[in-house]
Amino acid sequence: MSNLVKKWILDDIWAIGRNESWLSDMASQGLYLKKFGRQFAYFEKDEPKQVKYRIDILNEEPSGEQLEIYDHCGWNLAANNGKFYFFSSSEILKFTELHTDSAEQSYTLTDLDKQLKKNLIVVFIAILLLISMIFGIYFIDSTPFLNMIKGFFIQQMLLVAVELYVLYSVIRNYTAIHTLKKSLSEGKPINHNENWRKARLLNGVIGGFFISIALMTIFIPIIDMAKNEVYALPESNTNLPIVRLADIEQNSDLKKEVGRIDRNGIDYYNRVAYEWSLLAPTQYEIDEHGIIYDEMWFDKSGHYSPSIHTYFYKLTISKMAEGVVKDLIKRYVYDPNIKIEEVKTSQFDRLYIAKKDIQKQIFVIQDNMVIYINYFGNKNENDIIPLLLSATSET
Amino acid sequence: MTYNYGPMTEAMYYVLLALLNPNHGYQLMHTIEEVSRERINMGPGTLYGVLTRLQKEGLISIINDDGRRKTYAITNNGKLVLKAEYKRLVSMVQDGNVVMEDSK
Repeated sequence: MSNLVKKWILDDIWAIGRNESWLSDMASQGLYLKKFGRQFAYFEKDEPKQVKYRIDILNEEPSGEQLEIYDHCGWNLAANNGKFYFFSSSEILKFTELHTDSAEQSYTLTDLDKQLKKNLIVVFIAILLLISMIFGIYFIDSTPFLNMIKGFFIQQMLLVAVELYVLYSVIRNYTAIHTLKKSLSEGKPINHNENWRKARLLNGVIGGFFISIALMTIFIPIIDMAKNEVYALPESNTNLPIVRLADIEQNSDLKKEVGRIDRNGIDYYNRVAYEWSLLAPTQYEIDEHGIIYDEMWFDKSGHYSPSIHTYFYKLTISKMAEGVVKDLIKRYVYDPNIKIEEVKTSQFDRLYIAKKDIQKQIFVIQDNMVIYINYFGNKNENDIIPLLLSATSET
Repeated sequence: MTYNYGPMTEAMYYVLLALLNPNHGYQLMHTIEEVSRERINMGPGTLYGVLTRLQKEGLISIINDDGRRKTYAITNNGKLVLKAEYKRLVSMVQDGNVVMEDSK
């Protein structure tokens, strides 16, 4: 195989006339077909000659006797790919055309036509299910925007595009054979000299584009995984867009409350989780817990231990911010009796507050940033919002 | 699959006609050429396409296969179908004759 010349097929195998014409043109350049694979055709190099090629669709492997008769009529088997058999004939020899009755030739496509129709139905149903599943995931908990920025939305949309391309190819294949069968049955023979250049160029461009998309669907999750990290929340000041517990509580007796430690030594009560996605390239989920040993909760249930959880999203598309906030409210304000209050303010584009006992939930939109703060403690939202303003202005 | 007795393709008609005498592939091509008085030089792809289809439809069968050559023959059903097509063609020609004579 090493001395064979390999060429990307580019065209559909179903494009019989175009492939025959291409193979003849290759032979006129001294390249003779030896193998016709799924993606590549292999040619043997020799002196250029005028050679005709014909593609015959045979539902059964041809017998020795059949090949002998083909050979006697000037047609030699050059290669085959499944039911597609490629025959070559030197133009200088006297030969009988492979097919002399177009209407009869159309019958040779009957089984293939039926098979492609079945394929089309199966692929259509499978892709429809797959696409419904992908879109269904976004609406499963009625928080599509949040799922989009936190999940692999772009990658999945690229995957949908690739799937639609597969469907388009299957439709195109079926249409090609069905149309050919119909035109043969009407007595129109195959054009063995059909121009192949334009179709190959177009298929090459479209194929290359979708291969790039398919590759991107592989690389996006790799980038995502490489960029994600979890680390301990520093005790000192950080450049993170958050409000610190110490600034809210204003109590020098506030100590860090340590929670469960994971196998990497990170305290789950005081940590920063950074994530990346194409729609929200900067995402933080930050937890901070504190405890004051000299003070008790108002119901005497234990030492006063306030906590703050901050969710920060910097969005690529700022128009998504409103949807993301609505989804955050839907997901994190569990009690339907809690009233969501929109506070009119000139400091933020949008500000929503939900309060119940010691829990204060604050939702903010500022430009392309969305922040959600979930605070448990005795302080009020008025103690937090001014601090939030300075935190966002630093970002 | 059963043949629906509609108009035959020329290739099918001549293969059935030639197989009134059992024959094998290569010889069959020559017989068709003879029967059609050299009007039809059937391509091998067409010949094997017809043979495969007619076998499926039960109009011909393999009566001998020695591993190297297969001998085909028309079945009784094939003969009926051929006769029906022959009558159809004859009546078409007769109709044609009447109209052609009248138009002279």
